[in-house]
Amino acid sequence: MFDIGSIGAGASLLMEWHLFGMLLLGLLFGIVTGAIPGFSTPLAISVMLPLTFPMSPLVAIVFLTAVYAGGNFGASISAILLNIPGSPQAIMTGLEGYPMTQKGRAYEALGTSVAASATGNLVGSFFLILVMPLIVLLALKFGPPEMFLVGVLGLTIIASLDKSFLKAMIAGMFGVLISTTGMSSTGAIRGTFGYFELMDGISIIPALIGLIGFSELFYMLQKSHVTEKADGDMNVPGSALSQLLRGFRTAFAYPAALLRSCGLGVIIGALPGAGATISSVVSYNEAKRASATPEEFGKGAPEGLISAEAANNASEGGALALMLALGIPGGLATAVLIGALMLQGLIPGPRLFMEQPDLVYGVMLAQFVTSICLMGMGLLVSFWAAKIVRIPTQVLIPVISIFSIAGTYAVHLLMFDVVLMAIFAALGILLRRFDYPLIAVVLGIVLGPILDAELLRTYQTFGRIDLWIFLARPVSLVLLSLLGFSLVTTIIRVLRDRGRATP
Amino acid sequence: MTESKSQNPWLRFAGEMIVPVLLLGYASQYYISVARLPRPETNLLLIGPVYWLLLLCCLAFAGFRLLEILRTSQSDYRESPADPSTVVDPVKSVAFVVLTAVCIWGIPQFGFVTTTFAYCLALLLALGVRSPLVLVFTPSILVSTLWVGMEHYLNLRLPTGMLF
Repeated sequence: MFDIGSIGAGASLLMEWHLFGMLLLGLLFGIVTGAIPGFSTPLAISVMLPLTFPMSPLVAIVFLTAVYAGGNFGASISAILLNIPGSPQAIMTGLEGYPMTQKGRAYEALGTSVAASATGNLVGSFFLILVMPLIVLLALKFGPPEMFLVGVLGLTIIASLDKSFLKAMIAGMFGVLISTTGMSSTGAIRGTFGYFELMDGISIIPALIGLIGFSELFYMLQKSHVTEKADGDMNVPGSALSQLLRGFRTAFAYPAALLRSCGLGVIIGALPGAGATISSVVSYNEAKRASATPEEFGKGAPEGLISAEAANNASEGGALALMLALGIPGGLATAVLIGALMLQGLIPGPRLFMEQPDLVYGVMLAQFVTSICLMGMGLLVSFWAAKIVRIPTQVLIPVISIFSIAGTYAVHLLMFDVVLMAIFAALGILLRRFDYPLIAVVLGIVLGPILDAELLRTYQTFGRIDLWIFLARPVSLVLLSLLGFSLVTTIIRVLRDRGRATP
Repeated sequence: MTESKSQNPWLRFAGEMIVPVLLLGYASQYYISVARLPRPETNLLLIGPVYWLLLLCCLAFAGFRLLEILRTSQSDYRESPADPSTVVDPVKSVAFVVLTAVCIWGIPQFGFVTTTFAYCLALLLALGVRSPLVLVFTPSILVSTLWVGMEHYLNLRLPTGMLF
C-alpha cells in the first residue's frame, strides 16, 4: 500500500535544520494571522507565496503547509477569546469556547483547543501516509448526489442550534437563500442588484465578521470586560499555565469524541469542495448527538470544542491527500498550495508520486513534525493571547473594530466587502436582539453554494431530481440513512426538550 | 414608556415579527426576481424549496406566537424577566454605529491611515477613555502596525484618498 524506501528517502530530506526553522516560522505566522478576524488561511498562504520562490520545493511546501496548520488553529484563538472566528472553520469553536471565556476559563479553553488541534493534525498526518490510497478511492465514490447529502447533513445541525426550532430554521433558510446570490453555473445572475462585486456570490468573510464579529462588539459595548467579572479574575483555581495544561489534558478525557472527530475530519477533508468548515460542523453535530450531556452544548462544553477543533485540523490531512494524490483541491487553501507546487515546477497528481516519491513522503512526514510543534507553539501563543481578555472593552473594541475592517478589506482588496460587512453587522445586531441563532445564518451561507452547485450537477447528470437517484447509489444510501437517523434523533430531542419545558 | 410597551403582548408580537417579515420580504423579492430569469427550472432547483420552507417556518412562527398570546394572560408577560443581554447603553451604541459608518464612508475619501486613526481616537473618547497615553499610543501603534504590516510586509495595498 505504501513504499517504505520512499518514506525513508523522504525522512532523510527532513534532516536539514533550516527546514525546521522555516516550519516554526510558518506555524507562528499561521497562528498569528489566523487569529486576526478576516485573515483567512488561504489569504495567509497566498501572501506568503512570493517568499517561497527562492526556497527549495520541499522547504516551500513544508513552510506553506505549516502556515496552513497554524492558521487552522489560530482561527480558534479569536473565536474562543472574543467570539470572533478568525476564519469560517472556527465558527463551531466559538459556540463552546466563548462561553468558557465568559466564565473565566479562557486558558482552559485554549489548552483544550491546542490539544484537539494538534491531535487532529497528527491523526490527519497518520491517515495521510497510511491510508491515503483508500481515502482517495472513497472520495472518488462521492458524486454530486453524495456531496449534496453531505451538505444537507451539515445543515441538520441548524435544527438543534437554538431552543426555538423555528427561529433557527428561519435564520438557516435565509442564509442558504442569500448564499445563492451571484452568477450560477448556468450563467444566470441572481440578486446582485447590478453590483459586479456580487457576481462571485456573497463572500463568507464579510458575512462572518459582520454577523458574528461586529454584532458581538455592539453587545460588548455594554460590558467593561469580556469576562463576566471585571479584570478577568473569576477565581478559577491555578495559575495561567496550570489552567492551560488542565485544558490540554481535558481534550484527552473525551477519547471517543476526539477520535470520532478526527476520523470525520479526515474523510470530509478529502471530499473535493467540502473542507475544514463542513468537517467541524458535521463533527460538532455528531458529538452533540452522541454526547451523554447534549444540554451542555452551547454553554461551554469542552466536548463540543474538542469535536470542532479536532475535525477542522484533521481535515487538513484529507485535503492534502486529495491534493497530492490527484491534484484536486479540497478547498481554497489547498488550491493555493497547488499553485505553490506549480510555481516550483511540480504538478500534483499520480505522476508526482512516481517521479518524486521522496518529496511527496517528505511533505507527508513533515506534517508529523508540524503537529508536534503545533502543541508547543500553540501553548506558547495561547499563554500570551489569553491576556487579551483583561484589556477593558473600551480599548479592545476600537482595536478589534479596525482589525476587522482591515481584515475584511484584505480578502479581495475591495471596500465593497467592508460595506457588505456593515450590512451584515446591522442584520446581526437585529437578529441577536430577537434571539435568532446567528450561527444558523452563517452555516446557511457556507453550505448553500455547495448544495446549489451539487443539486444542479445532479439534475444535469440525471435529467431530473427524485428520491430514486439517492436510493440507487450505495454511498448516497448510507448518507441518506445517516441523515434520516440524525433528523429523527434531533426531532425526538426537540420534542423531549419541549415536553420538559412545559410541565 | 419602554416597560409598558414590552408588557403589551400585541406590541411584543409586532416586535417579534420584525425579523421574519424583513427576512421573508427580502427572500420573496429574491425568489420572484430569480423566477423571472430564463430557465427557472434550474435556477430555482434549490431556491424554490428553500423559499417555500422559509415561508412555512415564518407562517408557523407567527401562528404559534399568536396562539401563545391568545392563551397567555397579560400578567404572565409582566412576570417574564428582561433579558440582560438586550439592555443597551444608547450613547455608546449610537456612537459606535455612527462612527463606524463614518469610518467606512471616510476610508475611500480620506485614506485608510487618516480615517482609521481618527476613528480609533474618536471611538476611544466616545467609550470613555480619558488617559492621554492610551488616547495617543493606541491609535498610533495600531495604525502604524497595520500600515507597515500590510503595505510593506504583506504587500497588500491599503486604500488611499485625499490624505493618506
